[in-house]
Amino acid sequence: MLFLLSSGIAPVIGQTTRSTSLDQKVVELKEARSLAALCAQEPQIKECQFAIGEWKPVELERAKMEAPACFDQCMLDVFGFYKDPDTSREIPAVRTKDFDGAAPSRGFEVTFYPVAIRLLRYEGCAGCALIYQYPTKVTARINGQSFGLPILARGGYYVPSGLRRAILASPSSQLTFDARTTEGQFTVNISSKALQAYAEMLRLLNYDKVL
Amino acid sequence: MKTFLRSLCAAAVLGGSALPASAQIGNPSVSSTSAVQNVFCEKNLRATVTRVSKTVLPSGYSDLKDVQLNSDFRYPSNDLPFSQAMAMNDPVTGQSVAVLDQNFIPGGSKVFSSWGRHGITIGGYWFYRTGGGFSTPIGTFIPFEADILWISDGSSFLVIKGCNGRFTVTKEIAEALRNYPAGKNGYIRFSTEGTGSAILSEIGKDTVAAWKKVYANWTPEAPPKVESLGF
Repeated sequence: MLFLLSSGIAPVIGQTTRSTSLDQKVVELKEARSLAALCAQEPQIKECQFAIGEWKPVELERAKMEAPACFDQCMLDVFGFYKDPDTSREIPAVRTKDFDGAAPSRGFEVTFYPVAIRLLRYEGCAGCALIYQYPTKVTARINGQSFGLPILARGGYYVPSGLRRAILASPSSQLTFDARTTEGQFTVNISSKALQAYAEMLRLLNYDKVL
Repeated sequence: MKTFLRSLCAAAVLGGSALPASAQIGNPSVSSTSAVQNVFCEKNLRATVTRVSKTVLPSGYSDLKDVQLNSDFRYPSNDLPFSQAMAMNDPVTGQSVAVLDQNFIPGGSKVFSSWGRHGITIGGYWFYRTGGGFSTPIGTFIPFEADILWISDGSSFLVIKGCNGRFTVTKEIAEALRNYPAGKNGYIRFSTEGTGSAILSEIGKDTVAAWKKVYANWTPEAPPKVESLGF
């Protein structure tokens, strides 16, 4: 009887002690193809335990009531749930751009999701093709700290927990991305408004409780 | 002439991403001995509808420029680089990868080719000059589209039939182009609509090198979406 009881409790104890950060599960995240699918497979991951996502539908619906919902895409530098016109999924994001006002057809577009960003360089002109370029290496710099962002997909990069922590600690700081492309090295400046909107998204979805 | 060139360029770009359903790379039923369905070449004018899945690229192409084909014929994009592999995002047919090549006599005839993952396009124009001496010389441009293509493949060669300058890429063709000896110029032969002659044309060594990227061996699989990975 004692043996049965102890063998029944052991996995529960094991689960709490095996709680890991998503940083250690980036390969598994790629393989699972979505954070929601990974959280269903490995609920002991800290982000899955504490943060809100599609794996916590009731909490997510409550969170959606506190942010605007927009079809296709929301305004720049504003946190909102945008509705994917194809799938009708409501995805939290902050979209921002960094471009030279003298040449607005060239610049960078960054979309922040809770644990990933989409970053691309765009270049176009009248009579030219609009060309996107996806950096082959991205390093984030904030408050003297730098973080390498692993590549998840074409134009998609993982946001490590250290960077999320630094942004939550000081959302009005200057965040830059050093982006290396086949055309050269570029620095992408993120506006403080966009960064504050990203911090707001992280807080609403309880990512501040993960750290 | 410029308009013609632009439309040719646009058609070639479309050829780079057009994909008949039954001719996907990796489809074992497609070989040189079986008929290849070409949706562009319906000789009998029956009304047909062919549904084709949009293509997607795997993440291995993240180093390439991703050309967004969002300018229609009124605003042609005529600045696409030659002899360089490019990813392309066609709003109608989906994502593809292709390399453009041109071979020409300055001020004269030109052969233009687009080597797409799923389709090849070959066209151009011949330039004829008449008159001169005491009369005013007159130059005439005659556009052409290839309909038969010869590609060297090791100790043998492939004879590929298409029409309207378009050829569907099969697994066998992709393999021949991928394995083409790199580091030097390549050669193709083609004949044009209504003629029996087989013209020899050179392909630049950079285009030959880009074939290795365009026709790289991979199984079609939709890459994960960034928004799904991040939320």
